[in-house]
Amino acid sequence: MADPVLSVQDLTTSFRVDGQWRSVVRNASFDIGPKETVAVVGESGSGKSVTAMSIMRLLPPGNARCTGRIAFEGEDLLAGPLDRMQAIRGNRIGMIFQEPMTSLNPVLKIGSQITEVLRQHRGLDGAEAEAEAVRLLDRVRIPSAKQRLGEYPMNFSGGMRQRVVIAIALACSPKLLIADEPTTALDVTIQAQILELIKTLQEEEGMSVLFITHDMGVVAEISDRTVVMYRGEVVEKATTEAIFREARHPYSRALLSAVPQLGAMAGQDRPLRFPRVDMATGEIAPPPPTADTVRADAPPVLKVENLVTRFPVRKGLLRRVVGRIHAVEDISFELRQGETLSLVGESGCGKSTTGRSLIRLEEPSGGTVGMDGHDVRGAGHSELTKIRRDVQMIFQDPFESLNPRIRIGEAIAEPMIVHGLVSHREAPARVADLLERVGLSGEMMQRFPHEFSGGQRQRICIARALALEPKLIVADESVSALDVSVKAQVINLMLDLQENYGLGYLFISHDMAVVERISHRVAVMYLGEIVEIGPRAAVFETPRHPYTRKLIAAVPVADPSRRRRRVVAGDEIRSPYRPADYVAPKRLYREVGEGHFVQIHESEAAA
Amino acid sequence: MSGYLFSRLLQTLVTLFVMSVLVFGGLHMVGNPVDVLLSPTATPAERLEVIRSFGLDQPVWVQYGIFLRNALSGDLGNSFVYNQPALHLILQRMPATLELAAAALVMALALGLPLGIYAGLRPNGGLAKAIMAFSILGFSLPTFWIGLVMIMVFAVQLGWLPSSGRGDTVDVFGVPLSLFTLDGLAHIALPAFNLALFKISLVIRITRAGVLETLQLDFVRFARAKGLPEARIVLVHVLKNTLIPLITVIGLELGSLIAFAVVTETIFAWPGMGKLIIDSIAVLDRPVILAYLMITVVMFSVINLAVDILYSIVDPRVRLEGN
Amino acid sequence: MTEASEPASWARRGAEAAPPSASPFRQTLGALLRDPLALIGIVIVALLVIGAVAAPQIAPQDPYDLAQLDIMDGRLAPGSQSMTGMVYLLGTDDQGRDLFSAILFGLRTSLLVGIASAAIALAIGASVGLFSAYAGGRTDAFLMRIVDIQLSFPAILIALIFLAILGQGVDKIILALVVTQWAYYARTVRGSALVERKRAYVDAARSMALPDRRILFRHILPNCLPPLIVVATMRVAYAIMLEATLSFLGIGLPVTEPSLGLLVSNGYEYLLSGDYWISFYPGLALLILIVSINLIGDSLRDILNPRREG
Repeated sequence: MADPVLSVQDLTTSFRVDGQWRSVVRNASFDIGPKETVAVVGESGSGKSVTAMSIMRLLPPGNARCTGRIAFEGEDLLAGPLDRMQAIRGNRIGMIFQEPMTSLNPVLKIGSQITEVLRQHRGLDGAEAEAEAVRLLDRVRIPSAKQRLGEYPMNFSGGMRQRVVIAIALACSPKLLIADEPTTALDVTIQAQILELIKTLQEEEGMSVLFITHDMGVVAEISDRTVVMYRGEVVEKATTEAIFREARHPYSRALLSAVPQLGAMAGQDRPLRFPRVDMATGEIAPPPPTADTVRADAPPVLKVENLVTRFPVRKGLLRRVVGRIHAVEDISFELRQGETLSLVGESGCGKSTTGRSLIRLEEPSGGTVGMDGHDVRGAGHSELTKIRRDVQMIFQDPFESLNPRIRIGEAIAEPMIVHGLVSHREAPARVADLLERVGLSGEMMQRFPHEFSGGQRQRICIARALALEPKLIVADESVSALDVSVKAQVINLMLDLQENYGLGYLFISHDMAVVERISHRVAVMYLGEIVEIGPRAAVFETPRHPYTRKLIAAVPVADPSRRRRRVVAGDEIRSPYRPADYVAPKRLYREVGEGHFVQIHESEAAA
Repeated sequence: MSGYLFSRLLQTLVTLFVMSVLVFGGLHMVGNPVDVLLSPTATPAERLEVIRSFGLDQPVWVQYGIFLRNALSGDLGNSFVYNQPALHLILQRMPATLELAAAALVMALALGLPLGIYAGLRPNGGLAKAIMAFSILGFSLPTFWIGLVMIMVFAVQLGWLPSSGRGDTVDVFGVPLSLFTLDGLAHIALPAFNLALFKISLVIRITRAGVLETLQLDFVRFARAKGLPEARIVLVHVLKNTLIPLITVIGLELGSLIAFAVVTETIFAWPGMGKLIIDSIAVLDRPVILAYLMITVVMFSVINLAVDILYSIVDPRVRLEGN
Repeated sequence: MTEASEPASWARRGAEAAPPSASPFRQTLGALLRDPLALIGIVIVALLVIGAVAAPQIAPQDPYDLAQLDIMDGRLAPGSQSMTGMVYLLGTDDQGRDLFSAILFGLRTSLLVGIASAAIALAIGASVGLFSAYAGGRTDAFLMRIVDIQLSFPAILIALIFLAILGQGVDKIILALVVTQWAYYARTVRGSALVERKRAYVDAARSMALPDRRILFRHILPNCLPPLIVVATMRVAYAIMLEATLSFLGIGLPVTEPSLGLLVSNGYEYLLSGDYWISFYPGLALLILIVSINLIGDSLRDILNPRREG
């Protein structure tokens, strides 16, 4: 191999916490060759981002220290004074971060945020700098670049902002690009665009890329070699093919076995648990088969017909309604006991609002929701109370969905006591029982939420939901915020509970691969409407609607042997905002297979 | 924008109306100005005469009606005490107060901003801790008392600066100002600093909090990753974001400076409108109290409007809109 | 799944397994006592409160009993002795009043006015704020418009006008201070209640069909307390300062009521002749009280800052 562009040797990074130095990266070593893409992958706490920050020396000097050697084109970045980094940062090494929404200064024009780099490193000024800025925006495929220079970041969508950030990072044709989770905050179709953009620019520029990510799919898609980090240490490094084919370290194997692969469910007719990996030996135990839980004989527990939820947008002195967000537009579906129906789609497609409308956390504007025979929309106070007992929700952010001031024992007991299911005296025993059912211990009930990890908190939320013995659980992005391995465990738990209690799940998610793993049926949502609904196998194996196809095509597949170059359309996610006088068209569906319905395009419907 | 201006104008008018009703009615219910104005030896006939001449024999709503009609034509009544138009009395004294408030505001910003930025950039340094200790002290110092202490030290003991009055003034566009003569500057130094002390602390605290918070944001990290010099990061990226909360505060505080000038003017015998209102309250000189109130309502509305407009200029995310 | 990029929070994660299950209240108290500045503040405030409460027992003299005053002892310097052998620790005022005793009695009034007005303003403001956030829509817009308009007027101006209308007296100044302060509490509570209401734990409570009142008082309100406590501490200090200012201006408390502001005002005319102590010591006592309360408030603000919560 030619001389590496970047060579990290024995990097140890420590932070000072309460006067103590604690190392968060220990003896990390890896190289990046010319024009090579190296992925550093790991879960939260693995030290991957800290590694990236250490290379750029962006950690606060007083509270962090790095030892070892970081050679960039032969010179040791850690050796010189900090000032010297100024000539390297943004010039010879470009860096982009995870959050495009906050990476740009909200009160400075886009143009000046680009030209300041050109002025600093390339000595360009005035008209020259501006012309170069236009060229840079053109290169990252931002339309009408010249006009957009005078705009502020708030006028750009998340994907567009990330393009601007990339333009800035590449402004000085760096030898190395460090990308720290650059697509994590983006929707999957936008993610595909940005990944393609990075790949294209890398070829054009001939630069090397250090790609930090937690997403094995992205790793498989983009990297030549992969470095796996676990609790601050590099546990394995090899070519990406080798890692995916025959990972040696137990952690790498565990990580990979917890990653759902889109398309891997072909031939399965039921949801499938994730295999368990022994962390000592790395041995993989195949998952136990899943029982058939769907009660096809009984009437559906949930029946949604023509549900509509719109939010008025008011403006002006008289607060007139000038338009509406058509969050949910004329959707219908059913859900049986023991069945998992997934609502899948990108941000703003109305999947969460659908879930919230079912129990009137958002007030629907039209349609009917029948819950176990009760009419939800017409329900009075006491009937709604009964309905809400039968439908429980689990939310996305386990840090947010538990009241920080209430001990978890009380939090779980509260709904049971309020609904008169148990007395104050009986509550502790019942809470302990519930905690054990979700894999926690009854002794934990005296603790506050902040004393638990994310995965534990989500288990607590599940225990609390189970407390009311619901028939249906609406899981709103419930596993999205969890680390891969924790996510797999929580999903396994949910499948166990479905078997034990015959629970129905309405599983709301943007993650196609997880949805494929655990669903019986799938509904794809776009701009508030269901564009395709049907059995899981049918939707994933023979998708009919163009949007479904686009969505599936955009998902990075965690298998480097299936890597493909994609032609990605550069279009943005559209907004469901409509003017006040907008009349939603009546949508028609065609049955293309048993229980598999596809929305008909307007032109077809007219014919 | 026009809808915004219209709604602000409407709001000011409503506030003026409500305030005038409340204060007019309130003042009517308590105390009788005649008792204060007349000597105890006045005969009942003299008393009646005075009551009639001020129109105090009419029912309260009639009195209010007359007040309102006159007010609309720019006449806020004559002072019971000075027997001059109340509006004139106040406008005469306004420049002195505004000058004092402006000088204090400039001091607060000139000292508060740099100290606040420094304390925000080096939150754990010794000097920063000293600045913050000073700001707690400045926050806690009773204005009237520290004013007295300043007179005691700088005027009485050291004899450096005069302790009262306005000194020589120069007419600028017909308005007498002290800021442009040496003697005037010597006179305004103590009262302006006295008035500014509380605000210096406030500006320090807000600036420091803003800088600390902004430094944590992603775009600062990205700016560092771009290789920008620290000076540009602080003076352009951080400062511009920090100014935004500061602008609102400065607007509110300018109003509060004008109001708190009451105290400073009393101590330093500064001939402004604050001194006038205190004296008028003591003798229940209703027209002056009402006129002072009306003028401050208008003044604060103008300040708030200016703040909003400034805000929308500095922060591109803000769009002025009706209500 | 996002890796926290902030090093401090990042490294703190390791300590999460430790089992300190103290309630939030105890944790706050503990943190407060560990902060040396706050501890000094607490000790001084405690001493001043004890001194004020026990003033009739520990003061050498009842400064408002004219029979105990001797005009011959007027304007004695600190440390002087009276005819009867009593030592005037901080000197006397023009009427021969022992300043140390007068300050102790003055503290009583200051603390009473400050705490009473803050407590009443807090009760009213917090209720309005909570109701406003709960009601939403036009009610909320209307109430908050009133709050905004009132807050655009400086507290001292509103107090001046009210006292002009109401006249002097302890009850009147408390009322005036309540009127000037309730809006701060209303805005604070409403602001945090709106934030809390949007958080997922409230959605979770609603989806479990807990009664509205329970959600409001058991879930939302306790989470609004931290900023409210900080505001209240700072506001008590401010109310005490405002009362002293108004009394100094001669429109707060009547001359018959012991008040620190009035004492400073009394000494004003003797300042130029060098009898500084009549104004100086009462003001110093006021300053020490306010600084101590603000030290506690400042420390509380750091402790209760939501950014620091894990």
